Amino acid sequence: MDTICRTLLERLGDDLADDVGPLSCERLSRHLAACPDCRLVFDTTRRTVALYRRGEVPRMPHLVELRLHDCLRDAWFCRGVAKPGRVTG
Amino acid sequence: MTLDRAEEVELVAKARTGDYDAFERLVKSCERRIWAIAWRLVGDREEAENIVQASFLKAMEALDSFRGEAGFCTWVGRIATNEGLEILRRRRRKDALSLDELVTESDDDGPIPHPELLADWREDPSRSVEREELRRILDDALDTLSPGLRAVFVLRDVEGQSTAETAEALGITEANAKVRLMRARLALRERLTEAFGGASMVHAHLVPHGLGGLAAAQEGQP
Repeated sequence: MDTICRTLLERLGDDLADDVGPLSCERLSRHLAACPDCRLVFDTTRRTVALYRRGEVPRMPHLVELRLHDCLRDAWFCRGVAKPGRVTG
Repeated sequence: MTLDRAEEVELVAKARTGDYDAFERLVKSCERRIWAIAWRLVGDREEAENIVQASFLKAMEALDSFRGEAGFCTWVGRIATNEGLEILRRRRRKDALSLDELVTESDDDGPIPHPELLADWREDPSRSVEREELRRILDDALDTLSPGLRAVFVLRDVEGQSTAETAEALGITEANAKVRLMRARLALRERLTEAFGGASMVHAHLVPHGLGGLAAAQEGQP
């Protein structure tokens, strides 16, 4: 593998935005413009990140929220008497 | 419900004196974020619920030791990340064929994974693939990552945390966080290129001189 290709791969753990990361390095930026393979890897890596970032998370279901608060309330008041610093009465 | 720093400090102080309403407001301010982290880490509703409950219960127990250097949500997020990692490791152990498979697995060492598949995706997968199908492809690819790589990718790339925050949440150095992120991104890129790559897909290992020789090989194709 070309040394600079390896250098590019090593920088793929950096921020991939245009103004930072590999693109902020003039030498790498020039290489990316000249090496279609590296450009392809770089672009598809950025698109990979973008796809996951856009991915939706199912909303927290209402029942899950209710169960969470029931569980926390129970735990709080079961242990509350012994809670250090608790103001009682 | 978003809290500013001053409100949060006040609510933590009240909760420490036994004020449940204050604690509940803290929980409500970040329960959705914790749910998102949990869901993205384990991709399963029941396990995500377990993580959320366990994280807030642990936060409740440890409230007196919360130093407030990071925000309440960040702190609970770290607890949730550890809970999620534990589930992923348990899953991995269950799926592992042998103990050796786990022992030899390393997220930080070894050569840089070389890109195997090269192809332009040609179009935006989110336009050309059905939503459910896209989600399945993304989830399946994520499932192939080790727990350590998955956690770094979720926190850094999906949740948008900084390298420093990600490293701190996982108890690793920033340098290791970057190495893991690079490995995770390359592995996912490979899986997604498999799914979205066009007919011009080239296997890098079939091309002499590695990555640098691929363009020449592609140009030489009919």
